Amino acid sequence: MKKQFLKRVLSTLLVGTMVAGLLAGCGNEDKPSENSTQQSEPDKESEAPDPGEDNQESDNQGGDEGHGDEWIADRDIVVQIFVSDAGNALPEDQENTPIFQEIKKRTGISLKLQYTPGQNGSLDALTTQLNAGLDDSVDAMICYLNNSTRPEFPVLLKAAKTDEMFADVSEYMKNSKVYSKYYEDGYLPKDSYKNIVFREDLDGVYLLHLNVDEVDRSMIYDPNEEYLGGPYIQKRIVDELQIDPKSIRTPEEFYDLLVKIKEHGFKDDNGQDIIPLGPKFWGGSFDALDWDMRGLRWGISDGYNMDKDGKIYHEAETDYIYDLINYVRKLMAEGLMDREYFDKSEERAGEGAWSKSYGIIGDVHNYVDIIYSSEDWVPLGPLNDIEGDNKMVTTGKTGSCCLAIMEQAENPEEVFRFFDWLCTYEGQLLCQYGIEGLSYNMVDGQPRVTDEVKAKLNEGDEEWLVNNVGAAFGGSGAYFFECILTNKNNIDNFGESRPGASGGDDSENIFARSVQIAKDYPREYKLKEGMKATAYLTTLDEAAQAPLKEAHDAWKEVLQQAIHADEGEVESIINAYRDRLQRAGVEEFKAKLMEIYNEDPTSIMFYGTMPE
Amino acid sequence: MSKMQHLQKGTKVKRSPGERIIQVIIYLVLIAICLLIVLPCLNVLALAFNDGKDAARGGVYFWPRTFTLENFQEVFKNKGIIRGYGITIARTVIGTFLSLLLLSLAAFALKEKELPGRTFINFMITFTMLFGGGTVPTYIQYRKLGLLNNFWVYVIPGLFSVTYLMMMRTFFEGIPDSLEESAKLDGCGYFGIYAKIMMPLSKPVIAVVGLYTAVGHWNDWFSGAFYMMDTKKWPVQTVLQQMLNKAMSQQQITSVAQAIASAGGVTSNALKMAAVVVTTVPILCVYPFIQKYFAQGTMIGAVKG
Repeated sequence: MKKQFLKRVLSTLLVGTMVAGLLAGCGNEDKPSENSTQQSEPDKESEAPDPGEDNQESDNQGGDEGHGDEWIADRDIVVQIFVSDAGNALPEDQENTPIFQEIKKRTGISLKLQYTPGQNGSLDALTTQLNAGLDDSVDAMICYLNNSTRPEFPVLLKAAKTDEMFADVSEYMKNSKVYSKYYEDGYLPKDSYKNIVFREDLDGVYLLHLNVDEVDRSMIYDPNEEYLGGPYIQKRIVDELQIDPKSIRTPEEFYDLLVKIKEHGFKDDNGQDIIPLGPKFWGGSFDALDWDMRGLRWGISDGYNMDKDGKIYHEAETDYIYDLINYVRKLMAEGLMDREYFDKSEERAGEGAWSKSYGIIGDVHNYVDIIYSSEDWVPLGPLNDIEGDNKMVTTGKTGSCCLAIMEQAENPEEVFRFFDWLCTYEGQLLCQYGIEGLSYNMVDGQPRVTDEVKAKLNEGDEEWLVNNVGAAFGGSGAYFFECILTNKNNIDNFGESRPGASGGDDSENIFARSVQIAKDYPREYKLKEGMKATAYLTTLDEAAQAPLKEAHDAWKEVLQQAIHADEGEVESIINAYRDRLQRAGVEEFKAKLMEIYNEDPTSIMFYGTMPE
Repeated sequence: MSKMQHLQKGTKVKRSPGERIIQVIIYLVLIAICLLIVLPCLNVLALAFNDGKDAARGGVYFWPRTFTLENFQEVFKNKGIIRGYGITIARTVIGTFLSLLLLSLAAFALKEKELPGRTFINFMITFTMLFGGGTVPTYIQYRKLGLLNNFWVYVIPGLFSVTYLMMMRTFFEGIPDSLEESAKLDGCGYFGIYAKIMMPLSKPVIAVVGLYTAVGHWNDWFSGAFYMMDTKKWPVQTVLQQMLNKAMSQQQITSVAQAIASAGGVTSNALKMAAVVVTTVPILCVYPFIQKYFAQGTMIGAVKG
């Protein structure tokens, strides 16, 4: 009897422990993935294009007897795609999609696109397959590569340098129609030229950086193409408090606004008091600080900057960091900022935004449905940065995606010529607009999409665009034909920034409000050349890179700890991190940065507190 | 009369107050655990059948607020889903059948005490459980075997599991030797013993191994994501994984054109829940048919006699 009783007590305790363990696991929320691409990085015009240049070059790829000038060879070209945007927008039946048929007819090339998604985006698939070796049938590969700091780059470099997997295309480039421009001074961004295409440690050209605009329009503001990221405030708050959202510039003005919102006692859709400042729309994130505390983010170069004495520091090593920490702590302590600003789940952050539980969404953009589907939200600011103005920083010309032709490819020159042809005027017209008569017509010498295509673009019917035409339509269709291009200049070539951008009835366009926001809240740009400091981590020895990289990766967590810590702990947390940086070799890294900076000040982005 | 005898006879046994309290606590805890499991499933169903935009406002817990089938329409609009289902069903059926056949034959052989080198063979098989090749060597091996971009990459690598082999072997060892001996005396060969004696008696272990193998095939997205270049050969889990990745990539859009393209699709939490329902319900429907055997089979190897 006693034994039975004891057994029951023990089993109850065991079950209780299990339940406690289960409940302990319930409180964890997935950390949102970091997104550093929410800041608007427009690749728009800075200077007017050279009017003397005729961009409508006729293709002259050589041709073959009995075939047109565009003829290359009767063969297959197999491309392995490591770009998830492209892989997710491939036609069901490639061979019978109009654009593939047209390519075959004009060039003789049967283009076959293959895609391997991998686990978390294309990076792990790229790493696995390049380390293992691509299938012998693959002639070329394409992957993401905004710049040499992307995680794909070391994999590509190893494949090019050590494993010799790629063909040297330098001899074909020099006489090519489009890629020969890569040799021109100033054509490529510095990083593309020095670190990707024409590396000194490679004896040829193995990696072709793509999507480099012919003309740098990064400084030109075009409301039809503007992608306005940053904080957005409720329109009713603007009306009731009678404020001009564009006038909020400094941390003090931002604080005063948050206080006013709180004091006014606005309620959300559920009748609850709103939180003045909410997290990023897609979930809590450290990155939103770059928008909302812009004037307090001293470390503009991935945490680093140069002070007025000309010395380089990580922001954790300066007293500037306490200004940021104390400001955020004050906002949270006074109930002006969501305490889960950094780690709220995507679902709850979205719920809060939709039910107007936040006065200000920390970061969102004008092409998200919560913004364009109503007039409830308008942009706030942008706030001033450490230079004291609210201009958006642009680095000038950029690139994205990288093409490499495999060493194993049969006749790599033909493969190269094909991709070069795709980037000519005729090739770009086909890639972007599709087939004349089917998806576009020539109007006054400029291609204009048909009404049917325009309607599909407005509806966002990607499936139709991909399967019935197969062209890129500026990225709204088969994305492969967008990312494979380079030397783009749609304004001069086609008279519009992207297919379907011009003309049409705005009332049918679901993004009319997005464009209107861009018109009503224009932004200015300023050019700041150079890569972010951490891009030069690879200049250190391999053994020295890892601890410093880990320290950099940990910085966001440390900052959040300091923000949420008790008063007396903040300094010790920051001091502990400073020690960690020292142990990780930050002095050696800073010395290297200084060396690079002294050699060429435009190679690293520093601004705001530098010596004049 | 002992308490057990009382219970067997159906006699009501008087419990002490302490026992009753503990009984109540146990029931409450078990109910709580059941709710912990059932309520999230209800939440998934509620969101799957709720309008996406309405769901995004929050407050949908166990019942849809704005009922709609749009999420499922969106999921099935993708032809890849239907095709994926075909691939998944094919690999599950073929893979499970072949796996059971191979494992049962191997387990039958290994249970024979007269097998020469039995100890060594068992050791070599068990040794492989200690490590794996890693993703890159595995990829290289599949490439050299011609399994890349091939349907059989879903079946062949997963045919043989050492864990399930040991489970089956243990079960076969539990079947009395006398049955086999008497069958031999009657002139039955090894294959006859396997087919007419071992397999009919092994329904519990076949059910368990079969279910685990089938679920493994059903849930596998990794093979399609890494070893299949032709998107038409993706299983349904890989298709759904890509669909959800695409929905989540709205955060990483850097151009207006991409933003326009992504706006056409339903991108809500409700879509994810619909995808979960679509992939989970079919395998759930199989379970009731094998539950009887499953309950017996899960204790294999744990209880002697």
